[in-house]
Amino acid sequence: MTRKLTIALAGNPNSGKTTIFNRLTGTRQHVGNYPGVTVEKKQGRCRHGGVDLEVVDLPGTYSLTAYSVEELVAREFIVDQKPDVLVDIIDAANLERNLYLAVQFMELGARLVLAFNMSDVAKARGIEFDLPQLSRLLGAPIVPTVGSKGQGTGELLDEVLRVAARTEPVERRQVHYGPEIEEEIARLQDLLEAEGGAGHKFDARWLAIKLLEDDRQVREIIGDEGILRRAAESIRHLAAIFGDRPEIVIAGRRYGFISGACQETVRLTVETRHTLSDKIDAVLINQVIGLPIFLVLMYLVFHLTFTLGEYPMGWLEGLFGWLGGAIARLWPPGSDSIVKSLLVDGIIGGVGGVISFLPNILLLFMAIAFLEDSGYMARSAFLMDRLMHRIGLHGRSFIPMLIGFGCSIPAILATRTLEGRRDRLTTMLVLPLMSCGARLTIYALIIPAFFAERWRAPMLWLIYLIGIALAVACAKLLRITVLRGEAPPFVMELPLYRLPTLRGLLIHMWDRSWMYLRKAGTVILLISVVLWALTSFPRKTAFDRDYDGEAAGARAAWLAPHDGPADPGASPDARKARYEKRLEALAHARRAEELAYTVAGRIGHGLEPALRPLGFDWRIGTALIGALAAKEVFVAQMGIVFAAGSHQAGSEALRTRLQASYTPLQAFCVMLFCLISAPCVATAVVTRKESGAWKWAALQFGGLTALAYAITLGVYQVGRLVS
Amino acid sequence: MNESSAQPLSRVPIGQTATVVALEGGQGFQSRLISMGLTVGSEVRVIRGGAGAWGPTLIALGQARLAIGRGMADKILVSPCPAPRSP
Repeated sequence: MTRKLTIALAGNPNSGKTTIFNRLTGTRQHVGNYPGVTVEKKQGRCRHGGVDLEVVDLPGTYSLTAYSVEELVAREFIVDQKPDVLVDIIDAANLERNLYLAVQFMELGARLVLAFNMSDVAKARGIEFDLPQLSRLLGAPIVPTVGSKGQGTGELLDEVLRVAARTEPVERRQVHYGPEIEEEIARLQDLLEAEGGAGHKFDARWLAIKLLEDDRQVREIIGDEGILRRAAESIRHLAAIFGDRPEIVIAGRRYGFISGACQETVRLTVETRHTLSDKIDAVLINQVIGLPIFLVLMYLVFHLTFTLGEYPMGWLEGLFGWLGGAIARLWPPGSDSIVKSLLVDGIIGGVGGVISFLPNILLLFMAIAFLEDSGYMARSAFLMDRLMHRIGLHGRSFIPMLIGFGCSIPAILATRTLEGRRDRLTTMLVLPLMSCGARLTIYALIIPAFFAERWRAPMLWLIYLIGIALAVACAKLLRITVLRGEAPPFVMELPLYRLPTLRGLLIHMWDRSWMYLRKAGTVILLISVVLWALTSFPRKTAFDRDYDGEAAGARAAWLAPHDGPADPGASPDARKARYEKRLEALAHARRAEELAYTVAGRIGHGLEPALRPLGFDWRIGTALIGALAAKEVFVAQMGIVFAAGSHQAGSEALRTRLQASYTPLQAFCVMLFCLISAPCVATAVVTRKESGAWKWAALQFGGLTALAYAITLGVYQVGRLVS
Repeated sequence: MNESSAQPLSRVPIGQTATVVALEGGQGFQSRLISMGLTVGSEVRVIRGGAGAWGPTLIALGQARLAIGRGMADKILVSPCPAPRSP
């Protein structure tokens, strides 16, 4: 018989929980949401000792109060889903604080296994544990682990199976809260047990303690007026005795219990005052050079993204170009089959164009994963807190914004770690201004086409900086208008620096890139086909000019004998070149006429009066409509608009066409507009989901588009005067 | 002012060790600090901050490093320890 066990991983942020989770489950994981709330639920599977294990990664928390959604989610999962075993991942070098959470799990009556993670760091710092004794005092088995090296995970699972196999009820170690508090706990416990209801579903002692801690959610669960009145009385009574809220006193007693247990079992053999992390911090978060270092690091990230990404991108472009050519050859030359056009121009031109930017996206996500896993991301929040504070945001808002450079969707999800609702909303609304990876594809197309080699990286940097500056200005504006209120408190742990594991980086990078690829395979594929149809139908049959006739005329003119002084200095080569140029001009004109006739062309033309002051023509207008669905569609769409009828999928061909059609100023304005204007539909949907109201998504969508229009208008008009 | 008198954490000079004597501010704020291990009686060492410095205060609390915003550092009252512990 195969058994299946559910184990939940819990622990403080930065305790290495995610590393352990990745070690246990590898790539067999999936991310979902907890029902009703917007907290990410990571689940994975593994097999150990013939038993299938379903591993749930609970959100990282310091406590189990009702003050944050994450803590509530973790608590509800343990109480309602009753996992077979709860594994608390503990940062062994930060024992007392980490045990604070463990003690709360003990009180919940969970079957607990403690993983003393990063035990190598603790050892290096001269911390020694008497594990058997500590385990006895805490009433839970302890397994030392080193998640980054995969040490101890096997033993951890052995212990999990052993605990799960135990049939007798959990033998519980209890924190003794002192006679005054214990008396009140006993009184409430009796009432709860007599009343039945919640008192039977949950552990009565735990409920009683939570009532004394004035826990909002537990009060709701109980709902019984009599018990709540009694609890309020107890709180008043205890507050009078201690001169402080019982909540604080109870927390103090828990720490007392912990330090009592540690006193007997933990020994510090060396006094380490200045760790390596502190030394690195002395430089990286230095008052003077910390911020410049951060800016340079970000610049390097973008520089590497571009230079390293160029080669694989070239290969991918070559591959798609070859694929397009190979498919086109299945038809006789000159055929205007609709199927061929759909495959080559629509699907390969559109999706291929987007996928060829995957190397850039992978590199950017890799760099962000490195900054995150190494612990630097938290430092950047520290560095930015003063500035963020000035615009009325939390230093922590900076992390979602950095993730926003990858993709707005995970970034908006990351705002969940922000505590204040106003703070969260503000961050969410301005997030699309952090130029995402999809928009990078637009810049990657345009910048090399219009700017000299040495200006490319600075240009990209400038675009990103404009986004950041606008985000700052908009956040400030929001905080003094619709989202007015006091800036939330900032407190955050700076984790130890560590060298990220390759495995962790790859999993991180893959998680995010997969989202991008999936978008390319679904939304973008669909849109590419729709846009292809829009740019192909209705087909024009009667043309304003006789292109075939003119081409034949030009050919005749080239082949005709020229021996008079009418055409002086015309060598055969020059005449041939002139003929070819003429043919190309005719083909362009024909393509333009065909496109202008299609639905997309008509929409683009309809928008042209509004877009002309920005320097945009109807083709850009058409592509911008596509960009609403997903920003990178802009590139696919430009590819279709410009390459319609040709078999080239590579972006070099497109760049040449763009160069011929637009000025660098126009190109810059296109990038600016794409940077600022309405976020993609997916972002709008996520914003709606996370903010809980369409009005916020609408404000984001409309506000940003209006801003984009105003700024691009200004830049183009001023730029034209200057140049 | 004698050495045991309370002062906000934001005013403690760099390198100084101090004991937390009181937490002010709202319930959520206090609960958050407590869950992060900062309670009355905790001993902290200021790594970055002090009067006149900008940005958050950085403290060592045991092995952990906590960044605390200026507004919050004003609400944590500490009493500086008489002499820095010698290694």
